[in-house]
Amino acid sequence: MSYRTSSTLAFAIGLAACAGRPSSWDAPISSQGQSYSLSHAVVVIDDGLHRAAVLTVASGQSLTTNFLPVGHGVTNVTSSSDGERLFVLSEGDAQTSSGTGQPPMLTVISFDPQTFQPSEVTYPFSSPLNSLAIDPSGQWAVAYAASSSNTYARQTSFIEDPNELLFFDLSRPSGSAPLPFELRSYGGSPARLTFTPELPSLPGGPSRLLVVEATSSDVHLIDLAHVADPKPRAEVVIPLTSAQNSATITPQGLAIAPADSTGYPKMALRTTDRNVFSWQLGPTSSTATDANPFEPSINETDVGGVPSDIAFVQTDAGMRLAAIVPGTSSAALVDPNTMLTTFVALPASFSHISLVTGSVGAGGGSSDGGAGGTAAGSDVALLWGSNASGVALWSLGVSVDRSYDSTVFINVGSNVTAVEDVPAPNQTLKLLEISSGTEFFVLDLLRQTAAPLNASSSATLSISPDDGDRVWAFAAGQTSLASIDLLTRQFTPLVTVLPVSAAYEIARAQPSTQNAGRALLTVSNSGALGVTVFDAVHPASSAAQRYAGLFMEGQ
Amino acid sequence: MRAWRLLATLGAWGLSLAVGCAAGSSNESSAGFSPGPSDSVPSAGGSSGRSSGGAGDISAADASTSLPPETHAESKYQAPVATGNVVWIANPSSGNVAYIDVASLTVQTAAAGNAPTYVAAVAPAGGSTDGIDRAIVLNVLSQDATLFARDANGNLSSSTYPAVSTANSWAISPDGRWAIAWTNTTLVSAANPAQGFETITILDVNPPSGTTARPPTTLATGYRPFNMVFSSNSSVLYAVTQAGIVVIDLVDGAAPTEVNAYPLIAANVSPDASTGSEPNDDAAEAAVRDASANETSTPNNPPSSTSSVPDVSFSFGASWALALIRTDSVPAITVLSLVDGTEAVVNLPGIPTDLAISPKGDFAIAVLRASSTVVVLPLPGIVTSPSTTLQTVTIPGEIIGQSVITQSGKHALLFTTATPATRMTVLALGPNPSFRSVELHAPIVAVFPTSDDGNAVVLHSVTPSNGVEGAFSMVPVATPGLPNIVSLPAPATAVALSQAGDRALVSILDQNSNTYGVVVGSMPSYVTTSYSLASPPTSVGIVEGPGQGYAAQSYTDGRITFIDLADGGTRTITGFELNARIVNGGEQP
Repeated sequence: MSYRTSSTLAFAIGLAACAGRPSSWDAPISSQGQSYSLSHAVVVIDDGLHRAAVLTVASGQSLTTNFLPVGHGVTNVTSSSDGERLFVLSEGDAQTSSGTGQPPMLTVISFDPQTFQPSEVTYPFSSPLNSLAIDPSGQWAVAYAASSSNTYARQTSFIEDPNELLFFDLSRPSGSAPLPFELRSYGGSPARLTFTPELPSLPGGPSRLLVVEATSSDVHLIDLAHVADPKPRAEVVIPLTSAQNSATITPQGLAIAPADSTGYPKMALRTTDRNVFSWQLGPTSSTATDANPFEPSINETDVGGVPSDIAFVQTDAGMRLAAIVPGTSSAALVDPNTMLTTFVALPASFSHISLVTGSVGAGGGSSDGGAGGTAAGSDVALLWGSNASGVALWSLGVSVDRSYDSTVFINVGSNVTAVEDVPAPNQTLKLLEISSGTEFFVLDLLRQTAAPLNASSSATLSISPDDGDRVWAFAAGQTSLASIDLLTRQFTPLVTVLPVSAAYEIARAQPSTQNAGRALLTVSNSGALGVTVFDAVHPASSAAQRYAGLFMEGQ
Repeated sequence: MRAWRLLATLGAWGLSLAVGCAAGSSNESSAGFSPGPSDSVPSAGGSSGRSSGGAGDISAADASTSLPPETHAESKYQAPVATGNVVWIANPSSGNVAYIDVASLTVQTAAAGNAPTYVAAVAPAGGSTDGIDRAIVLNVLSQDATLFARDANGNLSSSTYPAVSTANSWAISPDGRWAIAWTNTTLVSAANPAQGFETITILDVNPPSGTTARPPTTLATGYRPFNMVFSSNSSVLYAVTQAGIVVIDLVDGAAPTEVNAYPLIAANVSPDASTGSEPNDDAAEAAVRDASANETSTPNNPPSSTSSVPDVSFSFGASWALALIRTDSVPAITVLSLVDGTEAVVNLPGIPTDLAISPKGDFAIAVLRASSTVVVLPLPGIVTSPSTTLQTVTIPGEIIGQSVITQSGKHALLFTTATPATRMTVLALGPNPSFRSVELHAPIVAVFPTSDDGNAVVLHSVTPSNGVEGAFSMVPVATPGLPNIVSLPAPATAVALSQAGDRALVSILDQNSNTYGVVVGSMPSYVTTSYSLASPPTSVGIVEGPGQGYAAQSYTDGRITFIDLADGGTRTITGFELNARIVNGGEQP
């Protein structure tokens, strides 16, 4: 790769002097190259030159850039939940009559745990796909065709089969072919894929499932243990409408209870309908040899309105399915065994539920009633949503017997659009983002307080993934940013020369050093990729290092 | 045992009230009703209070003389289909029948014919003796029937039978052997006069062990059947039609055969028949004369069209089979022996507005609304001695147009649906009858006594206000006590009573406000518990073994709610139509 110049004159001279030069000279710079954060690196995709710039900081503010090849025509980029791998899906080149051109492929970027040296493995396949689902356990990646909010997602070929899933076994070597799986189609296509945790009481033996929510009123359950069989076992298909019901019920989200006191795993699905679908995976009654040993028994429960979020929760009466119904400013607690439903009036029209039991302790909160003093082992949930001027702590330990006294509302005076988790040891804090974008709150779950922080313009927040001590705030396209101590709410203003497009705090990748400290990288998409490196723990503008023209391999 | 039943329309009540008021007003100067002592004067517990509310401002005599016929809505509210431990639910749109094991609450579905609609339990009166739950469903569009049998291990088998194309009802014999698919013309609206609906299909669905089932038989009965009655030993079927009673021998001969037919003819009562020798009560006699004068037809001028369709009730005993025929405006009861065809006319001291036969068939009660009198007809004795002195009881100051006899035959519940009267009289039967009248505070629509005689559930109509759209009362029957009225946010649509008589399920439905629910009433405490339902209830019932009440609901994917009658816990099962569509495994497509 050569140093590129943007000079038209030089370009003309070069063209005249070097006819037949590599096509990379003519490739546009990916000025909108998307950046992704991993544990020890920031990766920026340069689709024009089919490469990924892997940015690491070894010591101080010293930036190292490694370029790794990725497939042609990136359609999807997804990082693993542990931040150790990046998955880049590409559609390849348009096939010529001579059969040349790069095929579609999945490129997986990972790091040597000792040297932190990045490397890639590739898995080519035949028909381009645009979406990816990554197994949290790291075993599988599944590519499929679906409309998606992903930046790159698009229909990738003239004709595509939306019901073909490609399973990539990530333990297999580079070049291995994926395992195809054809969904039984009832008119729809996959909209959302969810990997379950291991279901220990699943009939037939412990296993994990891939749950595929389709767009046309059905759900598919695929036993991951049999995907690689010579003759893969077909999935279980759950219809969401009867044969006489022409209504379209679109799945909107899944909740999973791996096991409860009754033994069998349970799942629940919210849809565009006011009924919540739930099923228990009991033994099948089918005698067919190729049937899955488990089979769902479906139930529908009217929760009084279209639910916006669902979750399995532990209450004072045992496990319940909680459905949040903004239209009625209420929640429904459904007993998954009896379908007995308890309706709980909520103090506002919430749309989301997040369990914070791990943050405040089971049955946590205060002991003076309200959102506390709950049954042992019960959950505490945080309720929030765009139609509520605050959040509520919901003590599920009293949600059935004393539902009227189970919530504590914390008014922040504005609509909460997002709740960000803060990692341990500050997990009792939550960051509340407000619709205005210029204000956010630090919610203390234990003290039940919400401290406001204001910005002069709409700010983007990034929480330190390490210890949750600080949050980074910046205004996209501006040169100002700040480090805010979440405990003291003291902030350190910082400036960059380059306008900030994104900011990521990563661990330094210093070989043979377990804890080399942390760095903040601000990424600027203007020009040919610029990066400013700060020390994350003791940030100072004066100590920052600026790197420009990285896509031109400058330093 | 009751036959010809007209369904109440609440709208008619407003008209009734208006008519009643007018009559009351015009009768101010007339002779009026003068209740007097009867042959069997109540010995104790009588109540002379007037009605309050509803028709309370109308004197009993004034109101009763010009009221429309009584309506019987009880059958409209009862439609449970449960056998042993299984509840059966037909889904006409899917072609499936769902059967639910109430013990485990597991739901399975089985394919029937096209548009399975009318389900009936096929079981002996005392329940299945072979451990098999059977139910039969009429498939309206494929015009056939499917019999399902589920054994103790849960295995289901099915058989298909022919059925008449217009059938909308089942009649199941007391021994559970015969299933009759027929057209109940009381459920047919806007039929052309040329449509007689005479044809029935007789199915031998559960022949005695060691015998072969008789092939299905299709027979024509008479013009517009409105009831099918079996003899107590299930060997004879009586098809009650507007043309008459057709007698069909089910067991003799090569196939079920029509062996006799009796036309339904109103008793030919002479103009002064009602002033004959019985009863020898001058006051009642006078009341009868007044009542007769106010009727629109006289005994010798039989009413036309609809009112000419008689009310036929049956009484079966060891040595008798009787049909008792009441015709509107005729002050007599015709008693027809179905054994030999002999006929006896029992003259009454007034025009009966209702005739009820005791569950054992050993007596009948005719209600003479005009004189607020009931007449007890001993059976079968009345056949041999039609002129015998009849026991009569007058209920002073009350409007009574019909009666419901309790299971034991010890009590009769007297009330009227012809006017919005709010009072009911509990009559203790016996050699020395006694009665007490109770104020229920809302007009009566239907009355359901519990099987233990302890209580009765009374459905009311209400004028909607203050969030109240319906009501029912629980009324003590066997013992004195105060009734309890329960207001409802929607009108009641169905009632089910437990065999023990300790629970009542009342479903409610208001499509306008999407109010659906079930109210469980406990007796004798009269404590009620309300349960909301997610969709309109279609029927309620009680499965006695597991002690589960249920409310089947109208929902595309199927929905039923079970209520544990012991602890009040509920469980709603929805989507069993979806379970039938689950696809499991197979090879990759």
